[in-house]
Amino acid sequence: MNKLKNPANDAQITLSDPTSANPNAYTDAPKLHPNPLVGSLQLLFWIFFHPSAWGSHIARIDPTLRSDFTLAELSRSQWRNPALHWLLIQKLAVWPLAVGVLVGLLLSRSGSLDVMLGGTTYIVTISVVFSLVVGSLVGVVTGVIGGVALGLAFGIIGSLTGIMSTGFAVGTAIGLAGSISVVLARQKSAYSLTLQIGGAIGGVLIASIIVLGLGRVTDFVFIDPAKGVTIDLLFDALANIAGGAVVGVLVGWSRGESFSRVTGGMVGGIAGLVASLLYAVALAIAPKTGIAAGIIIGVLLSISFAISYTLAKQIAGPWAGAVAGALGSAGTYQLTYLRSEPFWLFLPILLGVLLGLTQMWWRPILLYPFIVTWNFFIYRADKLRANSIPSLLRRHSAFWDEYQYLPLFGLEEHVLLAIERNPVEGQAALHYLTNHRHQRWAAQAVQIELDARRLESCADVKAISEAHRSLAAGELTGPASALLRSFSRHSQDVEAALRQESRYNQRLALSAVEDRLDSLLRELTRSSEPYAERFRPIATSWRQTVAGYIQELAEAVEARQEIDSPYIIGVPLTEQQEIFVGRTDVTAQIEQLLLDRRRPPLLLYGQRRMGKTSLLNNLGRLLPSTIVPLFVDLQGASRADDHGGLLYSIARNIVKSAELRRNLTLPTLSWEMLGKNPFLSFDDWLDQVEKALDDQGQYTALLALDEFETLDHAITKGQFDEEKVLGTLRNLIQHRSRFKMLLAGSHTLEELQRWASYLINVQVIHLGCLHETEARQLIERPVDDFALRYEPDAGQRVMTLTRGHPFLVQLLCAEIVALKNEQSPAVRRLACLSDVEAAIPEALSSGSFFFADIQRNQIDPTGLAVLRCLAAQGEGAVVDQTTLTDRIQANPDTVDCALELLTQRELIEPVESGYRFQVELIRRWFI
Amino acid sequence: MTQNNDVKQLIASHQRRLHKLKELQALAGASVDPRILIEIEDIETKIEELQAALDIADNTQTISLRPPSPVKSIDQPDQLTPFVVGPPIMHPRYFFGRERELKRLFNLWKRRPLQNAAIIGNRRSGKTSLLFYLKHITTTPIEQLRVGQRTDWLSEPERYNWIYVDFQDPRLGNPEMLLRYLLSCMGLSAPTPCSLGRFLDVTSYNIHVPTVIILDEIGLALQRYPELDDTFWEGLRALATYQVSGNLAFVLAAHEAPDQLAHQSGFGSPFFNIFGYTTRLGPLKEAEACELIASSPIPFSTDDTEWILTQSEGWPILLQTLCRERLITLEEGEVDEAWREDGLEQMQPFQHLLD
Repeated sequence: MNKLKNPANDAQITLSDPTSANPNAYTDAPKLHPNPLVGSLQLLFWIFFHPSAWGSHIARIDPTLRSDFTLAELSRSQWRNPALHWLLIQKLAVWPLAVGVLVGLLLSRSGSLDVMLGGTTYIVTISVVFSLVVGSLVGVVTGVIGGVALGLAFGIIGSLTGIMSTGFAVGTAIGLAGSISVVLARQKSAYSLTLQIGGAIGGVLIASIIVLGLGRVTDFVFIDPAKGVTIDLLFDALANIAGGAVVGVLVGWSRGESFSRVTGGMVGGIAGLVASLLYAVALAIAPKTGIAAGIIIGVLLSISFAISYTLAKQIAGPWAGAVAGALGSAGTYQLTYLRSEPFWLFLPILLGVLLGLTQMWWRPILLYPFIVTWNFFIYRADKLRANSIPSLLRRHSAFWDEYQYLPLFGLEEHVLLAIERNPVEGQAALHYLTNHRHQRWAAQAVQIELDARRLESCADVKAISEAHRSLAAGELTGPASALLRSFSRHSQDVEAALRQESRYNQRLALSAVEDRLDSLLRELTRSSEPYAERFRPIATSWRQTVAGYIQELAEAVEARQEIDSPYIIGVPLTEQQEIFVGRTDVTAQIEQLLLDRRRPPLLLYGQRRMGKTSLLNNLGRLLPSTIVPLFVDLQGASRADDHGGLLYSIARNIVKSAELRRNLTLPTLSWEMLGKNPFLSFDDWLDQVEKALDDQGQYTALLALDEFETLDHAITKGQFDEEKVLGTLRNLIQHRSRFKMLLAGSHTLEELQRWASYLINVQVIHLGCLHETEARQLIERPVDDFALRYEPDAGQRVMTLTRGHPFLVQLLCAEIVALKNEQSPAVRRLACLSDVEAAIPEALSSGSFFFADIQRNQIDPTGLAVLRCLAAQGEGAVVDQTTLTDRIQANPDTVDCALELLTQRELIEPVESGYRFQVELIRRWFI
Repeated sequence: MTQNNDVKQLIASHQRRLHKLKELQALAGASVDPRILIEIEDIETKIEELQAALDIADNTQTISLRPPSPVKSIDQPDQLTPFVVGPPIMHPRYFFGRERELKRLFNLWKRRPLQNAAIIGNRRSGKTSLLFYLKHITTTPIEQLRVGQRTDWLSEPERYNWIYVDFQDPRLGNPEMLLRYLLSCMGLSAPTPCSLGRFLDVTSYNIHVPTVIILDEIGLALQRYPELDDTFWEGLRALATYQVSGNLAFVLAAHEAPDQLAHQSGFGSPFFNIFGYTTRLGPLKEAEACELIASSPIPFSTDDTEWILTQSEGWPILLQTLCRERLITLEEGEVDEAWREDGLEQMQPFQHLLD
């Protein structure tokens, strides 16, 4: 028998996880055992515990076949299917045969051959008729279960109790038929509860009508076990044919296209005729036996069930059908078999029906303690079997008992154990549970735990950034899904952060992630959600990992970060630039001179790029608030086309300056106001300004005229009238007590003679190089948090090279910063002497316009020769005038003049008996 | 006279000059002065640019004094040859090297006050290409660039206003035209008359976005345009120094040495001493030159690469010339080394770079 091959297994449709090691485990499509008897048992087992396996088996045999197919609806081609033959043999031959023997043995104890034969015939009849019209499997189950129960009832127990027991057994079988019909129909309830209840009531009514109809039939067909059976054969035949036809029509109606109503009626009628013939034959051959009674009872019960079931099912769904069918059938049994007995004997039948119908609900509860014990046993066994595969998990009831709706505690641990030992098998189990309603909670719990473990195993940011890809947050619903989605988002954020090209941006993005993880951590700490405790350590770990990486990045960025050059070269500094340093002594001097009652005009004198304009720009914050610096750039104002333009520009600068530096609002001077006599208008406007200054406080206005030489140049070119322009300035100094004047330029009034006659008693304020402390601040701490440090000799060397010349200090230091930025991070932050020396050529090149201006515009050819001669002598060399004269072979008087000019330009300085360069870096240019 | 007519006249003027130069070239034959060749190339480029500007103007019925924008050319980089010889490199994709200079220059413009810079280099050393690159690299879409080409030099590049002034354009040798052009590029209305003084009035306190004025071939301006005198330049200096809230910077390019440019007659502070950073363009670094060579759609052999590096000494124009020659021969399937002779011959006009 073991060599027999089940053709259905050849046509297997694998519904299980393809990665599963054992295709028969963790699946709703296990193969049927090849042994016919074992296979039959397996089929019966599937009906009660694993109907999905039955459905898969039917699908393997013929995908068009339904789980609750009836024999009546089978087509010719289906009848020729060998796999279906095999199934029918297992169902309709093996089981009825085996049960028939068993029932015969049990009923034989009653001592009545009639009862034995009648019971057996009844079983076979029920099996056949149910299989034909309700469902092939339903018929088998009803017959088998009903037969066994009936046998037990009759064989073991006495008369009255036997009748009750028999009724109970019949009721149970009918109830089971109903519940199994529901299961096999596999039809989700598309009916409202009201409709179902109504349907059930309707089913009961239909059943009642049928039963009453059958009661009328029994008026003609009276069965008396003691006297035998008397019957009107013709009427019985007609009734059977009519009943069969009705059932056939109903089946055809309910089965739709596959089975037309006409065909159904015809087949039903023929089936009824066959039943009548069999009944007649039984009466003719063995009138004294219970065979005929078995046939007629079986047919009546089946037909009454089928009609009630089919009608009610079509109206209100399978459950209504099941209730109606069971009640209808039970009523028929009462009317036919227990017609002469007290009515209360119907109660055991009803009880049986109820138990049969509700077996899906009470059976799991009844079996739960045993199931749990079994599951615990196999879990312990698996634990003890170190790493053995396959796991005993496949024997767990969750994978073979579909009806167990009570949670099988410990299932999730068993699945996790299986996953740890054999991930493929474990995943197959997980997949199975995910698709099954009752124990899906375990799949969720396992999945969440697996996700938690995955998240927990992220040891670095790279792993964290990839974690979201394996998270199943999107697939699951439940308490942890929000948490998992949160972790998934953080993982994606980390991934996005790591995609940033610059470390700085990575750090910024990760800092935001760290903040969000902090928030999550706080939420988890406060939360009472079931999974909060599980995920809190993970959030802590992630936050620490991210924070650690941010620290690493910070250190790396710090190490690689280029030094930001704060130096501003060639552009005057304003109050907004932090880098402006020193000049407090000059400011103090200006402040002191402003207090002089004689109100002398001031001249801020300094060489080009010494920082005159920067100082003027910063006077607002360096001088007391009662002094209003009014900055006027004469280099711009002097480009005016005429006097009106000049005065308009000066006035505009004054108004803007007062607003910017002291937030004072002064009256404006428009082009129209200047009119035909601009100087007169300007004078009037100055009156208004003085008044405004008086009104807004005791302010002193310091009119700072930068680049005053350009005005001189414009006057020289005839662009402006000397007397009108300079006379206005003189008038302003002498007669407007609120105004003080400060000229700024790189020339003295001796060089610009015409000014001397208008500006009396000019006090010159010399703006030279920065003091050493100021220069050192500019070199070593130009701004807060300056990243470059100087070795002492390096800082000193910068001082020596620049002598504190603000432009040159910035020029050289900017080159040192650029040079250091090209070096490795390890040495980038510390400037040493060699760095300073290396920066000199770059500084000479970068600042070439500064040096070229000296060479081209500030000295004459003799001076250039002197400088080149001096430069050639080396750093700090002192050369006396005679030697210089000899070397450049020039007229001594010319050399004398040149030396004077060079000294005045602060390029060289007299030392003892000779001259030397004031600034070493300038000397380098002239080498 | 409309501006459209101005452009047409300018094209005609360039064409006359071009015709004369080609006559000289024909007369001199192989011994033609390289400067003539360079000027011919320059004029041809200029004519193309002006013609393009004219075409646009014809379409829009408006004339802009703004030089033809290279953005127009960079829309479809794939249509350009990978090696550019002659005209400046318009599309940033084909510009290689100068990383050090770029870093220093953009560092000057990262924050206010913007600082001024001077780019000095021999003729054909790549000054104008660098200027175009400065102007466009920060706003060119990344998909139009080479992989890994840096664009994030400035934090808000879209705010920057880049004004390109090419003093080879004679119109810009006229102060009023130049000032009008600058005002137009700044989005400010030009006064009438547009004198320097009125220009300063208009611009003072009115430049609110970072603005970089690129003065190409400023040496030419000093030599050819006497109207652009010290007074004019000092006026521009005043603009850069004051009343712009640090929003204005000049970047100039010249082949003359600073001491030649720096001459000034007046007493006022000269325009050129506001240039605190001067860089002199030399050859590309070897890695940069190798990157340029490797950009060929048909890879060069190691031997060819070495030869190109040696012969060019890293000068970009020479690298471009030799790479172009090699690429042409590779595309035509030539396997011999005759291209090297052709390449050396093509290099002749630029020999001064190697002297």
